[in-house]
Amino acid sequence: MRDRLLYIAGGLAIVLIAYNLAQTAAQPREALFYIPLAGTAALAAFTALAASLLFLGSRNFQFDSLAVAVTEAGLAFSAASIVNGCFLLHAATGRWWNWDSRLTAALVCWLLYATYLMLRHAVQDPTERAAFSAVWSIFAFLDIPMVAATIKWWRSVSSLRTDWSGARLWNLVAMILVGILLTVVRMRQEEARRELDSLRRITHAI
Amino acid sequence: MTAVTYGLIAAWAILVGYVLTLVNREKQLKREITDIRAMLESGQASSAALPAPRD
Repeated sequence: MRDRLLYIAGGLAIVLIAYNLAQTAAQPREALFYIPLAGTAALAAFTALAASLLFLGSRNFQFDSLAVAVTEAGLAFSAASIVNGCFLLHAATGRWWNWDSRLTAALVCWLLYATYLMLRHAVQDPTERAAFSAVWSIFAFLDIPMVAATIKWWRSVSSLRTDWSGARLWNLVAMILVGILLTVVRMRQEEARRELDSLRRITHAI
Repeated sequence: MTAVTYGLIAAWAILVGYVLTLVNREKQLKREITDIRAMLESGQASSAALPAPRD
């Protein structure tokens, strides 16, 4: 059942992406992809926050798996939005990076979440790793409102309008579908990794 | 091609790169789980084949 739902979501995402690419080719607009990419990354950060809080409350490792999966997928979307933003900046000013407030805030956010993944590799004990990661994820989320605020506080380079209509809305839906797919696949991997760890422990015990 | 199109290609290249990383990791995990399971099964089989200790 879960596999079937995944295939349906994947098929829908492919159709939407193809439609959006055709639309972009016909009428290239700068904010058509940048904002949905960043929006999906922000949604992933919010989901990671919720999963981390739920893990700390229940100590259920399913929430830890969800947190790491959604953080990693969100990091990919965030990286894509930053790189896309660099191209837009280059088109507007001729420079690849000029410490534009939005790009800088997004980069700081990306670095915070990248640290989350590094922290997971540094801690050996699974329970400690999950707890430290959850606390770090909550701390990292504090940057998200700042990223959103920079859009209001400093209107720089190009004023991207955030009206959620037409192609931009469908782009957001497509990106969220892709994000859900990536998260589910990554969650399964995290569960498989946990199984591998328990098998290793059995091997050592023998 | 415009800068917008290049930006779009770059963004999708990152996402495709991440998908390829996931696929690669999945293969590696499956291989490791299969290896350890096979190792455990062969270990159990060899311990079962050992003669029972005498009184």
